[in-house]
Amino acid sequence: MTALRWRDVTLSKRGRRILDRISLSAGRGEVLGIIGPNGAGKTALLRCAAGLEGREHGYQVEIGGVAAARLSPSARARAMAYLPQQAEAAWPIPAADAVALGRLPHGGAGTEADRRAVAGALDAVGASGFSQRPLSTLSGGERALVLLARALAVESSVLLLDEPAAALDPHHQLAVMDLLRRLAAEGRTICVVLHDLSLAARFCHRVAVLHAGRLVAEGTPESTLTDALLDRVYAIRGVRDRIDGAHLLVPWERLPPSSGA
Amino acid sequence: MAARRAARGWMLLATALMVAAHGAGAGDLPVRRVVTTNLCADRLALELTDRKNVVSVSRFAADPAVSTVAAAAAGIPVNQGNAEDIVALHPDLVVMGAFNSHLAAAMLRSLGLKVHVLPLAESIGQARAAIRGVAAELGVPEQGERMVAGMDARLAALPVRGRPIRAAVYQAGGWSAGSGTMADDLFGRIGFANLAAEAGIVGFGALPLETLVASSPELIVLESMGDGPPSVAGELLRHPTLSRNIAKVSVPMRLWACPDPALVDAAALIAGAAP
Amino acid sequence: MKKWLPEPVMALLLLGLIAASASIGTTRLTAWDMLAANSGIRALAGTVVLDIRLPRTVLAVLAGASLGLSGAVLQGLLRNPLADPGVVGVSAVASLGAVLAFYFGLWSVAAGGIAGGLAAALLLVALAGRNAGTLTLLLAGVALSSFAVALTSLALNLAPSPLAAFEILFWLLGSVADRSWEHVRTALPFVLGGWALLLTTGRGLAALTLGEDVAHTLGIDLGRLRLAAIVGTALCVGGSVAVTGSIGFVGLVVPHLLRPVVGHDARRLLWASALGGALLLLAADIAVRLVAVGQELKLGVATALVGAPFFLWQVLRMRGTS
Repeated sequence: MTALRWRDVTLSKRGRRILDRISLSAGRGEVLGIIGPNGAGKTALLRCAAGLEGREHGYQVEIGGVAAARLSPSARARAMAYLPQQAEAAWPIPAADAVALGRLPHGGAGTEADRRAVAGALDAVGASGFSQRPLSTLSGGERALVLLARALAVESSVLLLDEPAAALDPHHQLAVMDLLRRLAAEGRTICVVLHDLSLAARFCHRVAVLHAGRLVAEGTPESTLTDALLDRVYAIRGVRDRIDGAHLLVPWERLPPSSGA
Repeated sequence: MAARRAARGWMLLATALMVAAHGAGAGDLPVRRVVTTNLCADRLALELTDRKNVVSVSRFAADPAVSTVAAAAAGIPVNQGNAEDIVALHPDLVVMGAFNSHLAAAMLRSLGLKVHVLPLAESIGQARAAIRGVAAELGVPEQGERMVAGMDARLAALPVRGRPIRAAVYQAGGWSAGSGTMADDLFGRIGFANLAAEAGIVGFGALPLETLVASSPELIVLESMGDGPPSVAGELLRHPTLSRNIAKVSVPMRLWACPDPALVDAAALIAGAAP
Repeated sequence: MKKWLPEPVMALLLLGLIAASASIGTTRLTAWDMLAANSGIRALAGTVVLDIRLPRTVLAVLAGASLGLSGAVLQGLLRNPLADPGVVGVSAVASLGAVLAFYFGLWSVAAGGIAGGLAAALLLVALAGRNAGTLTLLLAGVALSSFAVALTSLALNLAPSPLAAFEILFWLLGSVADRSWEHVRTALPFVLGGWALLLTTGRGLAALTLGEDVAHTLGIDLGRLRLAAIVGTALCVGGSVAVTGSIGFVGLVVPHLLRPVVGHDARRLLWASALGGALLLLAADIAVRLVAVGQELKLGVATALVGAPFFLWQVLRMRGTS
């Protein structure tokens, strides 16, 4: 069953077309990478699914086969966790308390189940060591991990993550991507916006390529991230290889912008 | 030569006598053009001397809410109390109140006018002196004596209580009259105990509600019963602790605003209201 | 490691202050005198304690708790530690509403205060926008407050009562002196209603720590949250300002003092701030009674003496980070 589906979603803001008739779906057990150049609409697509944008499309986003508009806010909150690109924390609360906020859709009363979920989430991202420190004292990377743990603590079936690895060092980048694969293997659905083509190519089961608000390609990274596509969408050429069965793709050379697309 | 010197001497003496006689004579005749610039001066002037001798009064003279001579004052031109208006009236005598008076009085005197400043009276004794002073200046000393005598007679006729009634003046905001005020003097003359003076207030001061209530007042003297326009200070007078078992009497401000016989009416009201 | 809980301590302290407040006044009567042998003293003590001291005590508790609670809520909603009903102008406009109602007999004084508080809170959320930066917030508050104070002064001068013009200090600085049970009855339903609304915002405010987007995806209805905060503040602050005048700084100081002890969890902070606000204002009222030489000081003077330097210190601390 399709865990998450966008049906013909169009979004305009102040006269500009941000998303143009996007139809896309993500299944259970899958890591779907949403990629594309700056301003392609990746974040907007994710926010649509999260219910933050384009509320008029309530019937065009389906979660677990049910139109999002039919779900109560709390049901939707339990079904889907969202991690925005910009980390925001108004008060210097301890990391563990920040993660515990992810239990609010389940009542947030501090039950045993809540405690287990929080501890598990902190463990999964490797943040247990600094869980009592206030967020304001953590480095950018540490804070990013804690906020990711917050999203995990919701224990939702769908995870919408906007650039979860952007602030992390290579070690933690790989750790996070491995974690996402593991979560997918457990049956969750992960939709992740990525800037890093290498990560997308290696870790995503499927990728969806957005360009100027349109979905120009989707499929496995190997079949989708062709030279022609890279030229058309990014105006680059990449070098590829296969290592241990995983797809290696590294952007290598800039090309003059093509006239088409 | 000696005769001419003697004649000049006699002429000087005669002139001096005539001037003195003129001065003394002026003291015996009522002053013709009197200007009063404050309420108490208005009231005394119109009560002591003929209406036709009063050329101008203050704007309060015709207001029955504060004036006891409102009927007599009707029709008399009103002055605003400033030097220009007064000088233009060519008065023989200007009677002013104690507030803001020294600058204005000095100015008027420097312009050659005769000015009498009515002092504040904080006791019946001072009121008598004030009445006599104005009467003398107005050239009607016998009227003054009559007024004082009448006032004293009525005062003496007021009932005096066997035991002191515990009373206090209480105005909006808790303002009360302590020792050394006219109210205090009147209370003493009718045999009342002034709770504000007991609390240590000298002159006018704020009497805390708690202190008042704790001193077991029997009578509270208000200016009005508080039906006027709303104010926070006025709300204090309607506090529930002042409503139970405490008699109240409303004594209009006009009765004790000035050193004149209306004071006895105030005293009579208070004496009559005691439980 | 057992962490000591400040809330029970504060509650006990509050009960202690209430007992003390019943025995402090301009006379030497204490609460014990209500059990005296002499029936005259018993009666007097009863009147003084129950009808003069207790109403003002209760009002100080109601107003203080309202100010502390709404301060914590506004800070959580606007995500700014400088928000408080006085700073953002809610108290000043509520005071204006109450003045218009009281002196011109337009409507009940509580309704006036609440209408004023509502107008200010709505205007504030509109002016300060989504993410109220400190500068925007303070400017909006200054604008609202100054305007409200000017209009209040004008209204008092135009009021039918000649005493009105002298009462500006009451409305601008606040006082619970000489207030009776009637005033408590006037304010009580609105204060309680406001508290009820404000205490429902704890969960939403906690979620708001991570930003509006995350809060939304955690299932919080932001529109309802804002409405509850605005209406709740208007009810309890407006209702208490109507009978005590505008008292400042309580909502600013109390959450700040409590955060190191109670933590940043909005749910816990709300209750603690209500308790702390009641404590602070009652303490200020007792202090004002104890140092009274001649006329009693207005309550707002005491809170400003503590709060204004505190506020300045906060601004200095934020200089680098704003």
